[in-house]
Amino acid sequence: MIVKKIFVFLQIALLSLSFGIFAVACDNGNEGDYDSGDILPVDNICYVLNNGNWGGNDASIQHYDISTGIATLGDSQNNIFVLQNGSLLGDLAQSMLWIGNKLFVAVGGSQKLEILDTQGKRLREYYSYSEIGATPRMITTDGNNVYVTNYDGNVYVYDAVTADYIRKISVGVRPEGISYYDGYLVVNNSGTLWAYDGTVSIISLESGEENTIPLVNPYTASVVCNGKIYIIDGGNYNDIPSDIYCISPREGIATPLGISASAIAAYNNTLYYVNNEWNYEINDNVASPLYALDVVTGEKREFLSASKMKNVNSLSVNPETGDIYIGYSTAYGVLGFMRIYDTNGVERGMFTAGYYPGGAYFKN
Amino acid sequence: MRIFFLYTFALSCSAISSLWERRLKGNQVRVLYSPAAVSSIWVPSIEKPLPLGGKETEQSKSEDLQDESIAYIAFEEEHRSLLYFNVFCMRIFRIPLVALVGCILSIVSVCRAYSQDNSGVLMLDSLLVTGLRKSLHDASVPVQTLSADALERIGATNVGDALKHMSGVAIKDYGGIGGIKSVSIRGMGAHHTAVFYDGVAIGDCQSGQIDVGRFSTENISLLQLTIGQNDDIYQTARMFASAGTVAMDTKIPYANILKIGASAASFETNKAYINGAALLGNSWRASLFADYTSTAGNYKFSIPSGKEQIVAVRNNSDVDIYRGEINTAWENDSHSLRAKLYSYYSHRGIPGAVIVDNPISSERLENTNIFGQLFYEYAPNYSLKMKATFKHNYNYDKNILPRSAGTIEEYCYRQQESDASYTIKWSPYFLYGLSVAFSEELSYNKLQAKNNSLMPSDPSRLTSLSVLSARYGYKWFTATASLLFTYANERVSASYTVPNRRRFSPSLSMVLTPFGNNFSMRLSYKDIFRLPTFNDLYYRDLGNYRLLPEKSRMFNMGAQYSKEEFGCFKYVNISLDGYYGRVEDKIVATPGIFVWKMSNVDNVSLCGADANLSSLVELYKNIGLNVTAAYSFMRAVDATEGSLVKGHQIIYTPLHSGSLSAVLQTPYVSVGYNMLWSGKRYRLPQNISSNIVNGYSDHSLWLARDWELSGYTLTSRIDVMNIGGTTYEIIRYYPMPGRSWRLSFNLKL
Repeated sequence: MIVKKIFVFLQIALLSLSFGIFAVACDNGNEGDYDSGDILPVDNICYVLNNGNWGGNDASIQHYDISTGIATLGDSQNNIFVLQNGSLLGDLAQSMLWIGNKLFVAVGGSQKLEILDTQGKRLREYYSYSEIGATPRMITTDGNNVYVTNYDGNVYVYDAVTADYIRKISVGVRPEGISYYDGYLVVNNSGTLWAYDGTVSIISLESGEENTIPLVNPYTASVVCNGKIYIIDGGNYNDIPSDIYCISPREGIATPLGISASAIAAYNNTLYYVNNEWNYEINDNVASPLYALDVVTGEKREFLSASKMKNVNSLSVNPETGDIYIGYSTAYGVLGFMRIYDTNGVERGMFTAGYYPGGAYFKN
Repeated sequence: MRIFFLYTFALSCSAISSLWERRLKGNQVRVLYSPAAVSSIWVPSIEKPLPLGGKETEQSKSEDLQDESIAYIAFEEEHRSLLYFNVFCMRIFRIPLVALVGCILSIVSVCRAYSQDNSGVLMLDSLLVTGLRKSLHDASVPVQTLSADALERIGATNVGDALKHMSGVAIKDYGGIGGIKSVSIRGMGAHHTAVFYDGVAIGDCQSGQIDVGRFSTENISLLQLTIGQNDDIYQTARMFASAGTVAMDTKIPYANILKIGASAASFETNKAYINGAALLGNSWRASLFADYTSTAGNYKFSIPSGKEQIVAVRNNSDVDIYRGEINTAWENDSHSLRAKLYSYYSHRGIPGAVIVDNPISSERLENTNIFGQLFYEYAPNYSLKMKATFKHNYNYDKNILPRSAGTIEEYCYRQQESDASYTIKWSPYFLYGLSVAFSEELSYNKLQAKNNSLMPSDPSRLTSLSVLSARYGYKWFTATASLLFTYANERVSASYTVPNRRRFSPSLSMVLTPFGNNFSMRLSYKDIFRLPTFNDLYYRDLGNYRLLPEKSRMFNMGAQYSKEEFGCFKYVNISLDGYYGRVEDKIVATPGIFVWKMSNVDNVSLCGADANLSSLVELYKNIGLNVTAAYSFMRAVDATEGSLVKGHQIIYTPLHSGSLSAVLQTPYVSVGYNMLWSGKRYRLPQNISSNIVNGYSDHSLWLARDWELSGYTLTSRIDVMNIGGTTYEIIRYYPMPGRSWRLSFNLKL
């Protein structure tokens, strides 16, 4: 009897052990393949920066070869940053600037500014986490310097060639979008959270003077078009609708166009925009056509139909060809897409991007 | 012929009752009995203690004292024997009416016997009411229980950790003592799981999710997970209004008991508690529980990041928790009154997700929760009983978020909930095994955002739940049906009008025991829904006041076999359940360029199987091996038409998961091994390799010994947890602690 019980005990112990071994054996995950030996071309290409999910560390950079129509992978584990550096890019990439042979990448959640070469290899990085909430946001350049807005209320200035830090310029509360034109920086200060007390700072780089214009909620969008700077004021998501403002830096005035928009891009005299706003009747974002506005004549036309434009994350334009790059998402947690159209509205290509494609970036 | 049977049966009952009475008198054992204590037709079975390990000493002692002692035993234990007897009679005589008459006669006879001896009270150890708890083999839906002993065996210090040992559930654990732990049953989401504390629902109208990690296991006598609609129809209406329930029971013992305990563990984790109960006369009892937990939570972790590892120490994860509760109960033959006052306060850091290249974490949270509840039950006779509950809950959360340039934002929310319910159950003897019950529950929830505008509407909700249910048992067949009607009215301080919500929710279940009591088969269906939370509806910009309720349907089919003295097994229980379900109009956030919006967009299809095994093997005299194991297969996929991720497994739901617990009990020491295992999961809806969260297994060992010290019992125990040392992630970027230890002492006076 005792032998039998011991036998049963051993059986159970063996069962437990095998269960445990089986469990341990199943620990290993499966990662995607990636060939890190490739040299990426740098002519006739662009980079796509994907924002990623909040807290997901899944921001990514893609390389898109316009000639071949081939894009590298956009998921967090297999994009060119991981290929070159081993580590993840980080959390919530905000914007990018390609100048010379360097890429400046603002990664907001990770509170850092990455400076990469054109293969995506890290050259330098600036961390701002020594101060809580010091989040780098949007980037622009005047050709010599690189200007990066930061939620700590400053614009940080770096040398475009050496990537050395030069100085910082104090602006308004939670600065976001930034553009440079004709010796002026125009900075969207989104204002205190939930207070909708945003402003626009117009800063003369020559004199250092700052002119502030009160708005509601100027956000990340800011483009130069026909000698003016166009921004989006997001409104208060309630009774104040979003609106496109035209900023004349030298005159220091902001003129509302009376056009609601959620994303804009510019090419020559044409301002492209979409407006994906929530609609309670359809329980979804409104699928918006892509409009083209001639800022000289004021003529507005529907450039593309609304079929693919439900959740547009970004609009970008190839400054050489005028091709429109539309980054959009279909649902939460699903990789986004990038669609490319020429100036006649003919689709030139499409590829799978990362999470919430934040824009296509071309060489300055 | 019928009269003859009736007479014969009555005589049999009387004779058996006399024998029973004689046995009781012979042992000088009195059973405190109150009809009000009988919770339902099915009574949770509590097995008599087995002479194993340290228990034997106590039992021997009790046997030595049995001639002059009276043990206080809950009525359910003994009453269940009578019920079994009557079930047996029903099967033999096949005359339900006779059985019912016999039942009544038996009860009257036994009650008379008990009432004859009320003197010579000497307290015994509560040994006789503890022991191995069998599964509910005759339940019509999967019911998993963990007794106080079982909770101790698996070494779980909070309810969230304990639930990981049950099948069919996924625990979202954000790591560490302070990390939130919510329960999702069979992939339906945490909002479909209701949590009850001593029969009264714990509510959170703001987020709809209950952090089960905040409940200590020290004072819980029974933890029960029910998937689907239990066939106990004598329940509050809220029990009918969710897809699954987690019930925590903190019974007040019929004894004067004082327990104190303290533990120290890795990461500067310290805990101390006191748990006392006192008899305040023949009818009054009271208990008190208080505990304090603190931890620095600063454990080292290593998690994958691209082709590299992030190796760091968790910061801002310190926690201080203060808990206290007072319970009192009064009972007589037909009335029962219980009251509870519970308070909870914690302040903690919110470490958040591990962010690449950014070690900053500074958010803090303070939480105050106070609730009081009253329970009254009246059972004038066996066929009729009723109960009423009242609860008021106050909850205050304060989020402190340091921002840039030295500014600090505070977001405070105050929730208040008042809840009243009554339940009536009628089991008329002339209806041949049919019981009917009606339950009504009214609850009022109000949420106020203080000093912030994130919840600008100050929403309030009045909810009425009405349930009509019936249960019919005949021979080897028991069927239960219920129909729940929900009505919710909401008021907000906004210009828009929120529609009232009405819905009928049916449930059906049956259990068959055609091959005897050891084997049962069950079948159930439940249609239920959950209302959108106030965050879903009204959170600034994100909320969508036009949301529809999220609906779920679940079919379950299962079988269970349990047997005592089965070969070398003292006890073995095996259950297997398969299910199919669907969640429709799932509430998720839809991305937008400026703000996201909550919307009803997703459907989820569910199917899977749960298997459970529990057994006890007596290896040698006084040496036993207790083994429990659970395995879940859960395929929960997106079923939204047109979705790019249709057919993809939903987030944080492993296809395979399981647990194993083995305890070797000897007279000198007890040794235990616990293992949790989960296959890979996905952190986002798209099932691609970069979204895989690796599977894990967590192995723990413990060693415990009881010491007898001048009549006191000191229990010492050492746990080594996660001996593999892997800082695995249940939620991506929220690593769990690696290898750690805990040393604890409990003194029972």
